[in-house]
Amino acid sequence: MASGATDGSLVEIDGVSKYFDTAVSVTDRLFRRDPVPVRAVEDVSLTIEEGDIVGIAGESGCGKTTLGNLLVNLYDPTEGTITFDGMDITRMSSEEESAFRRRVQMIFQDPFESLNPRKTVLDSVVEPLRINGIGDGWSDRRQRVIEALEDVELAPAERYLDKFPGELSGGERQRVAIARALVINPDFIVADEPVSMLDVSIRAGVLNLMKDLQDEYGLTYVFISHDLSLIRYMTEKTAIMYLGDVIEYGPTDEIVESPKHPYTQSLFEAVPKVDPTLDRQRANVTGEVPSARDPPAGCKFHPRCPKIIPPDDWTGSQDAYRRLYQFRYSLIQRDLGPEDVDPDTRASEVDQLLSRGLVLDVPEEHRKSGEDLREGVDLDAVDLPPEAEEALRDAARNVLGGDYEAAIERVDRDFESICSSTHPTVPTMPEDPPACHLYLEETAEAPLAEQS
Amino acid sequence: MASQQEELSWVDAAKRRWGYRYERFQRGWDQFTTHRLGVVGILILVVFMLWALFPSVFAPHPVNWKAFVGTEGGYLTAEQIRSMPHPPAFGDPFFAPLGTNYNGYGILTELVYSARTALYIGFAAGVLSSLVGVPLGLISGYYGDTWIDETIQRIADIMYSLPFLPLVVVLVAIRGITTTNIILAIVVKSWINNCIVIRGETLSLRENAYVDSAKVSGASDTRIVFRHILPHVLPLSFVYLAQDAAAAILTQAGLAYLGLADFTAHSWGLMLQQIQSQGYVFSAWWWLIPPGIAITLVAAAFYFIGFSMEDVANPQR
Amino acid sequence: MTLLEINDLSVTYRMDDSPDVRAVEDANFVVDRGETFGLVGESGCGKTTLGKSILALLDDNGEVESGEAWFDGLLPEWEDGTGAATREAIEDPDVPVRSDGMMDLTALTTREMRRFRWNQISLIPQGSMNALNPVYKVGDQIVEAIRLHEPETTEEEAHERARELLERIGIDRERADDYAHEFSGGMKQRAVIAMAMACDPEMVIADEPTTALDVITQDRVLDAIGDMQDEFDVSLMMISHDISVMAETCDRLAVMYGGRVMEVGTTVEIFEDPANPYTLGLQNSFPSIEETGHRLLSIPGTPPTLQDPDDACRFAERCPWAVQQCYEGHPPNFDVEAAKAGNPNREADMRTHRSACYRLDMLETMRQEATEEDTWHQEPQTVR
Repeated sequence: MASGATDGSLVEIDGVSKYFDTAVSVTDRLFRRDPVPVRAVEDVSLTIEEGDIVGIAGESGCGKTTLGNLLVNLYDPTEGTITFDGMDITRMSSEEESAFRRRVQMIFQDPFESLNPRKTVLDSVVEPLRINGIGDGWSDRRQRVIEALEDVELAPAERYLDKFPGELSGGERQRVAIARALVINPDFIVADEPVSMLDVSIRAGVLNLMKDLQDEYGLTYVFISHDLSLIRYMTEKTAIMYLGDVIEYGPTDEIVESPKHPYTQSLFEAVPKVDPTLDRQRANVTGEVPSARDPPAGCKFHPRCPKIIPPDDWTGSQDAYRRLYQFRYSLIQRDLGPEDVDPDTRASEVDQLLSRGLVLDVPEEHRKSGEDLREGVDLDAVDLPPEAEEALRDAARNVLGGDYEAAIERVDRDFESICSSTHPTVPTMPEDPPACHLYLEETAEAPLAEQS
Repeated sequence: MASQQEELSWVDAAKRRWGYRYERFQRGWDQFTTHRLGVVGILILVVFMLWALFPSVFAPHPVNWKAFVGTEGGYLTAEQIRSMPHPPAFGDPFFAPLGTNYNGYGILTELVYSARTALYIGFAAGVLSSLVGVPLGLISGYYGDTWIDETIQRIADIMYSLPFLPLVVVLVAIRGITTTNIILAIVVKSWINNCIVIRGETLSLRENAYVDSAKVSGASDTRIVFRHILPHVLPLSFVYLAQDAAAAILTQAGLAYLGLADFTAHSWGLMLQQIQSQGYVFSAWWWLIPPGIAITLVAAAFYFIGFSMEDVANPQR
Repeated sequence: MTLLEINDLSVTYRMDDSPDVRAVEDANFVVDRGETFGLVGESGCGKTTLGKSILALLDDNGEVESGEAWFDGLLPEWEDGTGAATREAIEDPDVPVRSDGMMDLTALTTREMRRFRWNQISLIPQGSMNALNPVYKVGDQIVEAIRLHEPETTEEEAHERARELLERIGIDRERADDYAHEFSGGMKQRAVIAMAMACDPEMVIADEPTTALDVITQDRVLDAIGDMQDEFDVSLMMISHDISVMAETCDRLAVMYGGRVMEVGTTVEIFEDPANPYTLGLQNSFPSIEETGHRLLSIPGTPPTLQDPDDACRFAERCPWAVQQCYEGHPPNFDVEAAKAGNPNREADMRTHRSACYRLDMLETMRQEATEEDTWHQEPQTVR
C-alpha cells in the first residue's frame, strides 16, 4: 500500500488517519463507554509530485478539508506519516518547522475570515515575512509586499497597502490572501475551496491567476473543492473522497469522462448540465451520507450503492439484491420495525414489513412503477429467488419479535455481500483501481461488474 | 530622492492608518453616546475625578477644619459640643453646607477629600483585575482543553471558593490595614470573572480562519495571542474593568462600614462606619445621606460606562 | 396566461446616513401559469430583493419606490363568486385592482398582504432545510402555517390537511408527529415544500434552494421541487446564481445585474442565443463539466455600487463594447429577433426575447469576441 519514495515526489502521505474526539471523558469512564471518534480521514496514502496540480473532491464531510489541514500541519495525524521533501512533518524540530512553514502555505475558503479585519493589507501580507525573518528591513519587506500584490493583479499596489479587508471586494480579498501565501515564495500550496465564496464572474479571474502563478513559479498545488466543474478546470489528477476514504484516484479527465467507482459515477450524474436542451437522469443513489462516527462496515458506500455485488450463488437480479441489502441496512439502522406495520390492512405483517423494507429511496425514474416510499413495493415485482425470500421472511419475523440481531444474522448467513464484509483496498497511485470490489482482483466476477 | 519619497509615503501611510483607526474610534464614541447613561456616567466620573485631583478647590474648607474653631484648633464650649453633629449651616455660625459630623469636621469637606480614595480603589482594583485576569484568560482560552487550561481553571475554582471576608481579615492581619491591601484582597477574588469571560471569547476567536492562516505562516502562539486575539478581546475587557471598579468601590465601602478600613485615609465608607458607631444614624441625615449617595453615584457611573461600552464592544442590531 | 406581471418595479433601501440603495430598478417581466421562471444573477444584483418585494418581506428600510407587481388573483372581498373582480373593486381608486382583474401586490396594506401571503404565493426560503423549528413537531408547524393564513380552519381540519400534504409530497402521513431531527435531509426539504404548499398557492418562490448544498443533495432538492410541481400544478419562480441549475429547471429566465433586468427570454434562447454583454460574460466564465481546454473568462472590475447610481447602463463600465450612448442612460429593452433581422431599436413586448443593450446591431460580433480573453481586458472604447 505504501509507495516507495519516488524521485520528484514532493509530498508523501502514508497511511494517514485522523480521528477526532478520541479523548475519554469523565462521563465515558463513569458509564464504561468507549468513546466513538469521528473518523474524518481514514488510511489515506497518496503521492504528490513536484509540479502537480492535484484535486481532492468530495461532498461535505468526506474529509477533504481535514486532509488539507493535515498537509499544512495544522493538525497532527492520529496515525501514519506525511513526508514533505523527505522530511517527516509529524515530528519536526523547530528549525525544521520554520523551514516547512516557509515552503508550504494555504489559501482558505472564506476570504473575509482568513484576513484579520483589523489589519491592513500591508500588515497582513508582511506578517509571514516578519515571522520568517525574510527581507532586510522595513522598506525591503514593503517592496516584497508590493511585488506580491502586483503578482496577484492588484494594481496599483500602493493603493491597496493601507486598505482594510472590509473595504475590499470578495475577489480582491482572496487575491490578498493569495499574495500573502506567495510572498515568501513557497513551493507547495494547499487551496481549500478558494473560490466557492466568490461570485461566478470573479471566480474565473482568481482561478486563472492561480494557474498563471503555477506556470510562472513552478508551484505544486492541492486544490480542494466540492465543485466538480472547477476540479475539472484546474487539476490534472484528482482524488475523490467519501467518508474519509480515498475511493478513486487518477487523471482528472479520465475520472470525469469515465468514472469507475459507483459513487464517482453518481457524483457526475448529479451535476446539472449547462445545456438546457440536454436531459439528465437523477443520481441513482439511496439515502444520505452516514455519520463519520459510525460508518458502514466494509465498503463505506455499500448501503447506497446501485452496483452492490451479490454473492456468487445469487440467482436473482441485481436490482433484487440491492433491495435485499436495503432491507438489511434498515435493520442495522433500526429504521424498520413493528411500528411500521398497520394491523388493519389485509396484508400480513411480514408482507408489509418486506414491502416497506425492500423499497429503494431513489428518484422516481429509477424506481419500479407503482413503487412508493410509503406504500412499499409490490413484492411480486421484485424477483427474489425463493431462498432469499424465505430468508427475508424469517428475518422479518425476527424483527416483529424484536430480535434485530437474529434478523441480520439470518440475512448474512447466506446472502452477505463482499461489499459489507471486506473493506476494499484504497488507491494510492493514479494507476490503482478505485476502492470498489468490482474492480479489485479479489472479485473474479467480471461479468457481474457489467450487470446493473 | 527615493528615500525622501518613501519617507513621505511612510508618513502618509501612518496618517492614513491612524486616520482609519480614529474613524473607528469616532464611530465607537458615537455608538457610546447613543446611550445617555454612558454619557451621564462619564460626566459623574469627571466631577468626582476633579474632586479627587483638586480637592482644595471644591471643598469649602481644608481637611483639618473644625466647626467653631476653624483650622487653628482650640476648645469648644460645652454647648457647642452638644450641638455636634451640626445640621447644615450657611455662614452662621460657620459655613458647612452639609453640616458637620460628631467631631465637628465638615461633611462636604470630608466628602470631597474621600473621592480620591474611592477613585483610587475603583481604578486600581479594576486595572489590576484586568491585568491578571485578561492574560490568564487568553492563555487559558487559547490552550483550551489542555493541561494548561485545566490548571488555570482549577486554580480559579479554588480561589473562587475562598470566602471573601476571612480572606480580607487574614490579609489585613498579615500585612496591615492599608487601602492597598484592601484592594489586593478585592482583586484576589475579582480577577476570576475576567479570566473566565475572556477565556470564553478566546475559545471562539481562536477558531477564526485568520488564526489558522497565521499559524500556517509560522506565527508562534505568543504572536497569535497578542497580535490577533487580544485586539478583539480588549473592548470586552474594558466592560469588565468598569464593572470590577464599581464592585470594588462598593466592597470597600462595605468593609469600611464593618470596620475593616484604613482609618488614616478619608473614605465614604468610613464616614458611614462612624455615623453607625456613634449612633447618629437616625438623627443626623446630613451626615448619613451624602456618603451613601456619593458611593452609589460613583459605582453607578462605572456601571453606566460599562453598559455603554458593552454596546460598543458587542453591537446588537 | 399571465400569472404575475412585474411592471417597472423599483425597490429602494433607505439608509441612515448614506444615500439610498437602489436595489432594483425598472424591472419588467411576466410569469405565466404553470411555468418555471428563473431570476438569475450574482450577489447584489437585486434578485432576492425583487422576490421579497413581491411578498412584502423586505427589511424595515426597504420599500417599493415605483412600479407594480400585478397578480392574477384577488382577495376574497374584491371578487365575485366566479373569481372575476367586482365592478366596485375595479372602479374604487383605493383598491389596487385593474380592469382586467389583476391586483397590484405592492399596493396592499399590511393586513391585506398577510391574508394574501401563502394563500396565493408562498416562499421556500434560503437554507430551508434548517427552516424547521426543532422544538415543534413537523406536522404542527404545517398546521400553524395553515391556521395563520386561513384562520377559519379548525384544528382537526388543519391537522388532516397537514397529513395529506406530507403524503402528497412523498412522506408518510404518520411522520407528521415526528420532530425535525428525526427527518433525513431530503425529507426536511420535502417537509418545507409541504409547508409552502399548505394553502394551495398559485405560485411558489424558491429563494436560492440549492445554494451551499452538495451536489447529490442538490439533486434531491431539485427532484423534490420537480415532484412538487407535478403533484400540485403550481408555478415556480426560482432565484439563484447557479446558471446550471437554472438551465436545468427553468422554462424562462431573467438575467439581472446591478439591480436591472438585462435580458429576458426562454432558457434555450438565453443559452443558445445570448444577446446581452453581461450574459455573454457570465456564460463564458462559468465552468462546465463537459467542456475542457478553453480558458474561462473573467469579467474584470466589480459590480457597481447601487447607492446613488449614475444614470447609465449598469454594465457600461465593464462592457467591452460600450459607447457614449451607453453612459447617457440605461438602455430600454430591445427585441432581439428584430435586432437580428436588422432593426436593433425595436422596443420589445413582455414576452419576446429581449435585451437591454444599445449595441444589438453588432450582436454577432459581440458573441464572437466574447469568447476571446483579450476582449474583456481592453479598455472600453470611449472614455466618459
